[in-house]
Amino acid sequence: MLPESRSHTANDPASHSVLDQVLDRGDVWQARRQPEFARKQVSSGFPELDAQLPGGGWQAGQLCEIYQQGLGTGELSLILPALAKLSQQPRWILWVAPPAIPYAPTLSQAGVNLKHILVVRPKSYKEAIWCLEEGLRSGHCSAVLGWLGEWHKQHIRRLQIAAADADSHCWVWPQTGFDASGSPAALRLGVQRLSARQLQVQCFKRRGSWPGKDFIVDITQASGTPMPANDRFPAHKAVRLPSVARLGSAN
Amino acid sequence: MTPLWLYLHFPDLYLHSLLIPDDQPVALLGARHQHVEQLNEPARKAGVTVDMSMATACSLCPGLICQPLDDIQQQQLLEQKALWAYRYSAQICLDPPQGLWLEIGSMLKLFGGLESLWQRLLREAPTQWPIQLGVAQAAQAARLLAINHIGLPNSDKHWIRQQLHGLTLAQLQLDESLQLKLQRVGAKTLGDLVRLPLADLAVRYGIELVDYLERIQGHKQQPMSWFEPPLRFRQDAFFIEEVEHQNGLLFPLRPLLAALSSFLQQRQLSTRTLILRLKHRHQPTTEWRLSFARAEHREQELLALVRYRFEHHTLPAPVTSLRLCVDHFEDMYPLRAKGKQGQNNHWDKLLGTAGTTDTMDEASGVLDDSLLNRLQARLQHQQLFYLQANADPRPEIAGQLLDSHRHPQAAVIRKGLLRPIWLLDTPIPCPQPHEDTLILHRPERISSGWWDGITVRRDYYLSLQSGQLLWIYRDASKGWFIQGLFG
Repeated sequence: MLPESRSHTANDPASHSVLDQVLDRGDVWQARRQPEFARKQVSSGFPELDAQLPGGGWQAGQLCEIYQQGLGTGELSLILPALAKLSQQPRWILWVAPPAIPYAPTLSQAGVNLKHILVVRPKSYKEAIWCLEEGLRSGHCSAVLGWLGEWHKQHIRRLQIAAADADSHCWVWPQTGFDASGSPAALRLGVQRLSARQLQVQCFKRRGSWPGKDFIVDITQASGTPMPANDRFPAHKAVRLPSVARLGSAN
Repeated sequence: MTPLWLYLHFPDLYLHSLLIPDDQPVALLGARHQHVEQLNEPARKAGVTVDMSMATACSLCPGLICQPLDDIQQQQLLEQKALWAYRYSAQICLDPPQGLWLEIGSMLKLFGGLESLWQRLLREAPTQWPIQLGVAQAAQAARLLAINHIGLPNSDKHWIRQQLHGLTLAQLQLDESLQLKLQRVGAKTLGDLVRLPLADLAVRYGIELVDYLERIQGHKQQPMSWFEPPLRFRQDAFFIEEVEHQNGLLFPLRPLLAALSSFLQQRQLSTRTLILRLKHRHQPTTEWRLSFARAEHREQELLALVRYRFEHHTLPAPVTSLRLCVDHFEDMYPLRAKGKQGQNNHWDKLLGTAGTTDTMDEASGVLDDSLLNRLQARLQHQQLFYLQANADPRPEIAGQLLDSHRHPQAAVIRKGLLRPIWLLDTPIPCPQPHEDTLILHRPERISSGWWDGITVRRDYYLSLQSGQLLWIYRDASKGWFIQGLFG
């Protein structure tokens, strides 16, 4: 409780107004008052994922970190339907330091407008952060995607602030270990592939809610072409992300 | 329509173009390098006056900086002023050394009357240069009102005549010897002069005086040669103290870029190359050519681009003056933007009713190039790409990164193929995958490229290895390679 609310009795009408003011400021989080998602949001295209994302979709102005173990674990499929929708806006989608060439025919097949995609291959981590921030601050990007070779809390904070100011979507894939001491990002997900069609998603942090349980997302149709079934791949072979990662959910 | 003349007088035009610290006395010397022609306020306070000899001035004010007044540069400055004034009227006549005539009779309706034009001009004039205005039906009358600082936004003939008749002979800027002669016959003001018979004046004082008087009264037309703006941009900044670091150039560059931006907007142009000529005291001039990925015309964008570009440059020597040049221009709206919206945009720009450029561009479906420009300006080498899809069966050709200097072409993509999201720059050799990891039993064969010599003959498989879904192939030599990943 804040000191000023203590000095009033419960019957004092003034104390209500002070308390209300404090609550309205949004500093105190209340479980029964879910944040209002008046911001622009875009559905992820996966009902299972939408059900878990705060507000029921990817929120503009919220930085999202996605952790994976190596490329090809479905890390990009998660946002592909959302990208397809965002790419219809006459604004750029900026890809900063992608680890390989984004394959144009696949993106095109998934409904992404290639004309609005801009790829930057910076020479260093510093340049990459600069490009991400510039993309967000310019206000000319509907989404900014970044692959980070290093992870520094202050840079993530800057990106989160820039994304919130620009009301733009921002996803980053840190190519580093998971920092369990917490992150300023609004959303932190971990993804691993169970099969060609299924991903298991862990939520380490989501603003305005508890992390929640792991859940499974079906990406069969994500890229426009059905993924083949994979009955032969034994599910128990899936490698779990280290459990220490879950400690990061507290902040 | 009878013409109405607005005269713009820029007192001490050359002096104000110099960047002088506030308390530094400065005097500019005339052509013979002996007499003070222009001086600033600190010098005036120290007792220096116009026409004083250099020796006297220097002894009165020891810290005085004396510089020769460069007639050619003063003329260029006046031309720059004319360029600026071009937004108010297309009919401009230079009156060297520091005045301009603008024909505004035809412009009054557009600007909502004389009073409003007058106020707007004073408001929009750069604060660095003081300005004195005069307006009259006769060009010379407007000039006299402006120079003597008695001009008002009043075009009433009666009032103007009254003001003019009160001008003394000195205020008429007559020759000193002529002034003396006229004083001897008891004439002190213009009012006295016009009461004398013209024929007699012509006989006694020369036809020039009569000619001058008739022009002042508007009985005779002032010959005018119209100023034509050149399609090139030149503006200078002079430094009293040398600039040693390139970031010190940004501040004086700001007004130059603002002038450039309005120059471009008036002509519906944009540019992608700025040239900076930096003069040094002991070295030949340095020329910096700053090129952008996309043509630009907005002041803020230009400034940001120049700032990023500066990071790649270092000054070879301290700079004494700076010139911003632009010779090559492009249409502000390239062909692709000239849809219906683009046309509206044109008119909004012209009439000054446009909101922000960005929202207009968005409405017409044109992406803003400024982000591209900024990234290009900051990143030194070629690091910016578009994505290009090609109708080719070979994966490495079907999806490529395209240099951002080129424009991607539309292509028909074959649907229904299972393709990865990531394509490796070059395929990586890998050991033969274990049978358990392969997903698709029936491999996809791509055999193509016989026409251009880059023949491929591969069988593609999907392989799931420790959570990573790989796109691998076996080529004709039975080697295995990873080419893509399903991200």
